[in-house]
Amino acid sequence: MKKLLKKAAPIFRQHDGALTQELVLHPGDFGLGKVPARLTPDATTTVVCGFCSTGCGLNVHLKNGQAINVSASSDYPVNLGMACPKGWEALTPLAAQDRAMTPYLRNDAGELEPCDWERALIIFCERLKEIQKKYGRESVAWLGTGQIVTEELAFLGALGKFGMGMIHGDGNTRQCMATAVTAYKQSFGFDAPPYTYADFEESDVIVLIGSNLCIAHPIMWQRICRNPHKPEIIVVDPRKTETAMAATQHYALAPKSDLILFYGLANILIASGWINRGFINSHTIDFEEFAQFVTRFTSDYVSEATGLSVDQLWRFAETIHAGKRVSFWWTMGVNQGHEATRTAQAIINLALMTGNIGRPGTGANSITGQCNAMGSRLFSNTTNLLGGHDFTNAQDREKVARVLDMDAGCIPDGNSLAYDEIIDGIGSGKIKGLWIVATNSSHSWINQNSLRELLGKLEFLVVQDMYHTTETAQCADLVLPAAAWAEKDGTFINSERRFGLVKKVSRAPGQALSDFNIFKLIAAYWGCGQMFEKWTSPEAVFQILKDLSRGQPCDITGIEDYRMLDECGGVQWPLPETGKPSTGKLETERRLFEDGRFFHPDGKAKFIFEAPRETPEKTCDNYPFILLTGRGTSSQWHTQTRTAKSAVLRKLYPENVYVEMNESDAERLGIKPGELVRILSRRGEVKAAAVITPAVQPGQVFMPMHYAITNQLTFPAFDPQSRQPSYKSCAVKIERDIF
Amino acid sequence: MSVKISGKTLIDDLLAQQQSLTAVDRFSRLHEADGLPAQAKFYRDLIPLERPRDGEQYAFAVDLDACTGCKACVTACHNLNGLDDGETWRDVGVIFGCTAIEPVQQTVTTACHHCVDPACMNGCPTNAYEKDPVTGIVRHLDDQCFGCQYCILKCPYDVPKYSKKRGIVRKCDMCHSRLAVGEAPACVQACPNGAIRIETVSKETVRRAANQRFLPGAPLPDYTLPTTRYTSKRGLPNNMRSADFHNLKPQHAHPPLVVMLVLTQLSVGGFGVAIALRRFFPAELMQKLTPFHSLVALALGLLAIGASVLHLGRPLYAWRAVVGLKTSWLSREIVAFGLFAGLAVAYASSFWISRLSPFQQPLGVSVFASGLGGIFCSLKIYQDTRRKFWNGALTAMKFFGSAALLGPATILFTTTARAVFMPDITADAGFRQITARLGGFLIALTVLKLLTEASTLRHLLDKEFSPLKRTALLMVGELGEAMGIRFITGLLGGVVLPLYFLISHPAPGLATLAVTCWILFFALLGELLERYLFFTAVIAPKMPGGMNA
Repeated sequence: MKKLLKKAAPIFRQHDGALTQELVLHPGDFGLGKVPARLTPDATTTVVCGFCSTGCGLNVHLKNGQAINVSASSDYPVNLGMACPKGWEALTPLAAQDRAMTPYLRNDAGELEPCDWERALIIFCERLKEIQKKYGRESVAWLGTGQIVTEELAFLGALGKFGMGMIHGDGNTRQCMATAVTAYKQSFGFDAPPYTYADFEESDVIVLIGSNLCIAHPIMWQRICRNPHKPEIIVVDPRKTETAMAATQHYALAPKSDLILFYGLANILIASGWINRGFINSHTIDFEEFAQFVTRFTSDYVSEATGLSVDQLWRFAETIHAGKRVSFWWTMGVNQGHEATRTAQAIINLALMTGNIGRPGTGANSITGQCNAMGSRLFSNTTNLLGGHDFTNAQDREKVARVLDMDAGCIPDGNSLAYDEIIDGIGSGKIKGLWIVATNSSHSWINQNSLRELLGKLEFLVVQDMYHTTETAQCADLVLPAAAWAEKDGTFINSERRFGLVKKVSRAPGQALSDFNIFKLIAAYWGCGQMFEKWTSPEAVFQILKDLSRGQPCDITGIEDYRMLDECGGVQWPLPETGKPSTGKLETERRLFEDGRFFHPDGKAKFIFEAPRETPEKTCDNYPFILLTGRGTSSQWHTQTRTAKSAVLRKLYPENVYVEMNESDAERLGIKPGELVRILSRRGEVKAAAVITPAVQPGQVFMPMHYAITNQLTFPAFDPQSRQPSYKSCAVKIERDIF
Repeated sequence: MSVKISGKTLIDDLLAQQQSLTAVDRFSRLHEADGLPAQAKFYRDLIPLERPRDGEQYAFAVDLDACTGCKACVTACHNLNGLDDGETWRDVGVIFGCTAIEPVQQTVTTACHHCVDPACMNGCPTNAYEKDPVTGIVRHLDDQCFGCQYCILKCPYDVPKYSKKRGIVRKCDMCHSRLAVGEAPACVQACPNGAIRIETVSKETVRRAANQRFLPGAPLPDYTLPTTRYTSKRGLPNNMRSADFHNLKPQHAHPPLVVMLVLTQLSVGGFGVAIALRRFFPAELMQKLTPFHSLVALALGLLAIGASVLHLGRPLYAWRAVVGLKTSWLSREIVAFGLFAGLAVAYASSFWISRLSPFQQPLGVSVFASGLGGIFCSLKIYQDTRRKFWNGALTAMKFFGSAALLGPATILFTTTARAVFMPDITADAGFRQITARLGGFLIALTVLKLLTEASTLRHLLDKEFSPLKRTALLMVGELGEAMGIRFITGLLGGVVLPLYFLISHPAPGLATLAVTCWILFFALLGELLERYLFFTAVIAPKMPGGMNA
């Protein structure tokens, strides 16, 4: 009887069965701990993440060589076992239904229609050559990206300018990093973010400017959390962001008053003698002029302009002064401004005058945006000649031509137009053919309505992307299907100058090809294949890039090959052949300027400054609110072409666009939480749901950039030095949507 | 002009090359096959060293100062547990508030609270939940579940999640199998800031804190005794509200449950009226009527029970409903209505099978009693969720009200139909008396019931954004149309049309039949809509959510 009962028991209380088994975990081996039984890998390998510039190592779980799952790599020196939601979900967007699996060509009916590669390549070459013939070399340009591997960026740049004879090419890095590039070049003599992530852990004062690190770079925030020195964390941001909440001091300054704030702080520091004279004298120039210049930024004046109290200014300055290892970090809040380069340099100036550079836990540190913005900065052949060289310098052209075994005459001797100038060129009829690679301009470019109209004026628009459904691909005459991150090999350079490896661990869908292979095909069909005979594989190109870097501040001749990158957990530049340790392991965290020598010929850093200017579009009675834009959540990436493909990530951000506004403004306008409101600027009108929050100040509203309509409102102002768009300040009005 | 290399076209060559995966061969593996978990160095201090002792259990502890809303925990849980596309067991919300000097926002990571007194477990009709006697982890037995989803209604923290493709519920099990071998749960492993840890808590301490808010914006712990401990050195102001506090979204309508509830109540009411009429009217007349009354009531009752099975994700396991009789009102309801159905079959048969006729009276009483018992269980099911709109009094008025209203409407229709198609009672004065009485009763009850339902709208005037105010706002907002139709159909079927019987005492005929038919139609439609609103307009308590504009 008892036996019978025992046998019958599971019928009444079933502890196991097919459904239970679905969730059973098995030891995953490979140091993984337990993993879902049905996703047990037979190998694992580290691949650097393809979203942001943090450059985390993702541990890809493989079965028969194919990626089946992802976790954070426990030993990669960047992320130390952690990843943000995008990293955890990195494989999901690869499997999206709307991957471009074949080239698409716009037919006579005006619809995009699948076609084969052969036809696509012939059309590509015929049309662009036709345009070049008719309107001249300058009439065809490309817009690149910070999302593809360095070897591909170099291929695109070399193919475009040397092979196809284009003059103008730029990247979407113009939208995020151009300011930092220009600021560093002018101040330090080379585009050289000096830090290593360990500096987050070494500082006793961390100043975050225009950076919502917790959301935009959660893994860098992790490094701050690991800081054992109980650092003062200062956040300079108009909004009470997640990062501002977690900070010890938050300065909610008036939007775009940052340049005045930093000049004011400099004034206090200099007047109080809280500066490092020794460092200034030995390693910098133009300090006296700067010191003289900032005297006009009295605390009262700065207080008035920034909305911060005089006490706050002094507390800020005192904290910098009290810090022994102060690091300054900035992101898009600084880079995307109408006087962004000078603002970045004002931050650099603070670090220089207090001697907070070149030592652990210090630095004037620009945090990059995209996974390979840094690769783009050095090797995309757009703003700089390959390898951080100068197009206008004959010696540089000679050197590059020698390395590439080509005629120096193929190299343009002038700089190319910047992104905004290329777009303007369409309007003025200068640009007739455009090739957009791995970026979604129709969503991301400032003053979007105007851009979309201009794209329609092109005679031929090619879009190369992993999806044929992006807003930009939908405007194209020809779509080339690209393999995605993890479907190809190559290197990314992260924010701290670390070369990391991307590996092909997943099969591209249909006929999609890696950008590298697409460039190879185009070279062959264009008729310049010979020029790229040695460009056989990404790793072969990596060897060429090494040669190009020789003697440059970014010299990487000491990195042997991909395998070395893999084994070291990435390698930071520079690593010249001579700099390799003869014995022992390479240090995993290295910073620049430890010897106090900068990259200007005199070895000194420059104090650069300029009188602040008013924002180009100020609020007025008709448009009384300042619109701030920025990242919404950590589960969203830029224009969402990838993050929107993951059901889990979609759950982690608001489905529909919203506008954050202060309670007092909402009350005055009679706006209720969640209500649909109209946001109008001089350029567009959109609707969004009101989110009423104390995190934004009265008179300001915030909209995340991930929703396409946000950029219908933004004002096309550009920093004059870096040509970077100023996304974070324009005048809008808010109305209830009563109809 | 196709470009060729060694016989093949370059395109074909590159397409083939694109498909070959060689990373495993080309690069070293960092960990050999039997390596220990490499993450252990990060989580070693985040899990307890020892198993809980008597009176203790495992619990999540969240350091709010360290939670900055990156949501890695949600995705790590998803990946490392192999969940379905879009399935998540953890969530991250935001709460907003203000101190005297500055705004405050706090992100909050949340999963199952592995309650000391789990409402999901107590409500489960199949005993598909188990609180581990040692660890206190509340586990869901996936193969035991038959997908009634009552646990979803019971849990005040919105934890159990229904998997449509499997027809069962799944939920966080604190990665019990990882903890068993000294590994940390996925979320603990993945938090970049170490904000989530597992700790051992004393159940007595949790009980003692039952009336203290454990997190601003979260339901009070007194109902289920959640064990998660949220800590913040910064301190959180009391005025904090979740970012989705003002979101008003109708809840799931559960159509099979709407039909099941309304029709079981109709059936019980039908039997009740049929039996009551036998007391007041001549036996001779009733002998002709009751068999048909009970037949119709039975048919609709069985339809209701059929509908209830459709609600289950795995209807084949419906029989498991009896397992949870000890704690689950849902089990009790199913047993009560099972009994009711059996007795109702016997009672209805007794008019046709002479051997059963001696038991007719006791059977009749039992049918009605078991039916009332079933309705009582139904009401307890919802009252037991502690949702404000489902409070006992209001729900009782609705559930018993539906029985008292649809019973007469059904009997009115059946009586008329019987009279029209079998005209042996056409001349009987009893017919007009019965129909007039039923009509009057119907009007009185409808007025009473509609007033009761409308009374919820008084909460529109509440100053607080209380759950009942939110229900009322939904009723006049997104659900306004359903609400309007509900009142119109109610008035038509329960007041306007029945007046015909009260005023003109019609003889049976096709016209009269048509009127009774419309009465039943409108009354039934009205009650179905009332029940639709019962499910959709309720405010489900939950943990603070994110902005969901």
